[in-house]
Amino acid sequence: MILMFNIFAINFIIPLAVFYWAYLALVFIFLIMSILNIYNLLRFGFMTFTNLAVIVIFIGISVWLLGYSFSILGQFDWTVPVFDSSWFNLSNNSLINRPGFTL
Amino acid sequence: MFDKRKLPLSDRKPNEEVIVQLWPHPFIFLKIFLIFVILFLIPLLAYFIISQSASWILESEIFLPIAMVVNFAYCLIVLSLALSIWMDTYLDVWTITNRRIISREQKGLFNRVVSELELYRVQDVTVEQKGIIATMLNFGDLYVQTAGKEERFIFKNVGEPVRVARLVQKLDEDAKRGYYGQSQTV
Repeated sequence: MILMFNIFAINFIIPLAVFYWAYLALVFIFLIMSILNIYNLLRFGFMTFTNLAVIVIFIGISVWLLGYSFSILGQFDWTVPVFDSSWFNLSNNSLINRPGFTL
Repeated sequence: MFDKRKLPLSDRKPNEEVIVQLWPHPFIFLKIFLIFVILFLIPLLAYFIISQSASWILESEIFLPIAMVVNFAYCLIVLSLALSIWMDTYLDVWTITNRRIISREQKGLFNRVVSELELYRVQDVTVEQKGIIATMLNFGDLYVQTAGKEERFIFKNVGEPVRVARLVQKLDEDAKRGYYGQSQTV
């Protein structure tokens, strides 16, 4: 008896949102790193104008960058699939239905 | 970089007074700043190249969000790296008192080395200035050799290293004479 598995029989979709989730994970790591760096600067550094100015500027740029990035990324449709196994199932011509595919 | 503020020492000894606090020369910080300014300009350059040669990416409903995620991720990584390197450099501080030299060196997020050296144990002081910029701006490394088996004490990229070396030698002579005077002739 020959067993044949057709992996394309299982339809799975990878949405564009995986990139958004990866970005959220990076934001989380960024926040942890920032807290640790600022803690070190305040705990072991001196209360000089330069030190405090650098911390304030860093926090300002970070808040702006995160706010701006989320406002831009919020405009995209993250449900769009970047990979859909049905694209490879040629029997139903689904390749033609792939986003951006034109004849 | 000279800073004569009398910053408190947590374990100050009797009759001990801070003579000088030393940080790396401002040029080192300027160099770090300029490197990160260039790194932050790379996304703008990438945007320019993409808009000129692959503008279809800016219209794609798949590639544009990915490009924006990559762009913002890059900016976050560079920003985080900038603060880490600033912290790593700024927290390298050398304190010279009239009795000892205290070295505080930050090595990454969780690695900090604090070492001290009694001035009477100083044997040899060496100054090394490498390159045209270090010579012109007058900064360099100062090596303090001790009588013990320890490695040399290194002040990295400090300003006016010759002047600091003379100060260390003078304080060392005072310490060896057993006189811990108010030697603040910097």
